[in-house]
Amino acid sequence: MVLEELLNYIGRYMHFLEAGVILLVSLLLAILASRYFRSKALTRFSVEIVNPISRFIFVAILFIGIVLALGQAGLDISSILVAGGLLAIAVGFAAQTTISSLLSGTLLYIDRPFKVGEAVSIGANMGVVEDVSIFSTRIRAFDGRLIRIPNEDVFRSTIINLSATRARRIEYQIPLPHDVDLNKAIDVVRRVVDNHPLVLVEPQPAIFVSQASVEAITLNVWVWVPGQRFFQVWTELLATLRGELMKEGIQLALPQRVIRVKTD
Amino acid sequence: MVSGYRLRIARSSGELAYSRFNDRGEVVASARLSESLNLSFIPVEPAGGPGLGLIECIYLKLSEPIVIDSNGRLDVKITAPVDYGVVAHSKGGSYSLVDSFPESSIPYKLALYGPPTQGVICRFHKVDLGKPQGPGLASLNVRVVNETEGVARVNTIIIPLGGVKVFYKPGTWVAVMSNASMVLESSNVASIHFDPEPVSADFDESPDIVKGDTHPMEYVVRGKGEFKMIWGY
Repeated sequence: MVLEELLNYIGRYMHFLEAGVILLVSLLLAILASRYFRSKALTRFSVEIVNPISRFIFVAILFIGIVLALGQAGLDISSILVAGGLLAIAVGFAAQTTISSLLSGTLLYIDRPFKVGEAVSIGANMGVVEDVSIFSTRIRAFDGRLIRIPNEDVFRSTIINLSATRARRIEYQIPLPHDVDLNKAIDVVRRVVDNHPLVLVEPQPAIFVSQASVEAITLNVWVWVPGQRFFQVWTELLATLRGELMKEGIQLALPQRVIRVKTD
Repeated sequence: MVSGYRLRIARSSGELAYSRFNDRGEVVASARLSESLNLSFIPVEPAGGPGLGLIECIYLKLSEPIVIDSNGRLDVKITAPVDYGVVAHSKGGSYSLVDSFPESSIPYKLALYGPPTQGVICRFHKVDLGKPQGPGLASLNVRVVNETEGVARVNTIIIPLGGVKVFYKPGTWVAVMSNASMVLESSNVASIHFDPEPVSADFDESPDIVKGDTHPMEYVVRGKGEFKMIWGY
């Protein structure tokens, strides 16, 4: 008799017990899944990206567990789901930019177009990468300014990694007057290029006339230099080229216009 | 005077002052050292000069190609540049490179081995086969082995500084590099092996400047002392 009453009593509240079990299992699953993800992802991605995703996995599994538990307990969850959906839409609209930056940050971590310490050009900004966080990238411009760029903008911009190349090509265009001794000018340029210790022998430098316009003959100079010394060689070589050409009596072409005066 | 530079080591109030002057009398390198350190002036790997911090290998361009039959081998004696090094040694055996500079009579040029995105920056040296060793040069024996199925032509030998060792005869500037073998594996790929043993008992080993474990060609290392030229020879 007592046992029958006990069984009836348990039967009446069985769904609450089941709801509790679902809640516990979902909590356990949420902890295990988020920890598993964290341990695996930390070997490839930084903690800034792994932690939010790990937390999201935990909350999502727990949320599903709560919804299922409430359903099991006999509560009408449709109103909760509708409210939750509306809340998600509202949050989604409000945090559109943030979420976009978050996703862009995630994609940047996967794509890895640059690393901290590398010199980059992102859109109109140029500098050395100081920090890449989940929402933004900070670069130190060459004039010392710290620029924060939302990851959404970074991801959409053209990114040039200036440090990724072992060697870079410097290109000069030297305008020379039409009456110049071209062979002499080429010899002077070649001597300057050959004497600079940081101009690479391989790939070979190229010196050639690219254009003969009304105003000038354009001498192109292409040299490869170590990527890390690009700016140093670019400035040194430019000054030396100008100085040596002047010393050899080779003037640069000046802008000119031929005017014909017609008389009757 | 060494290679156009004047060196000065002065001892004052418990320290050593090292200075290197150019031909205009300007100081181009200097250091203050503990008096307990010993300074030695020896040939070292050619990683110094204007390309300091960039150089990872020696790019030896042969003045005439080496042509080898399939499964054939050829021993060549060539020269490679070495720098003048000023090295501080402690009594405990540790050392630090204080200064290094190239021989001024050898043209100082750099070259890229490989593509611009992945290649390595090397000290360039044009090798005249059979030319005797001069100042600032170390001799180097290379055994070229052709394991390809056709006749092979070698124009370039890359010596990674992370693998090669420089030896010198104490009290002289006579320098040699580890004996090397270059195995041509395909029409584009060759592996370079170095003999870790000193070339002779009369020679001392110069300290390593470019460590093998930091070398960007590390990923092509197959075994100790072996590097691969994957961008042609």
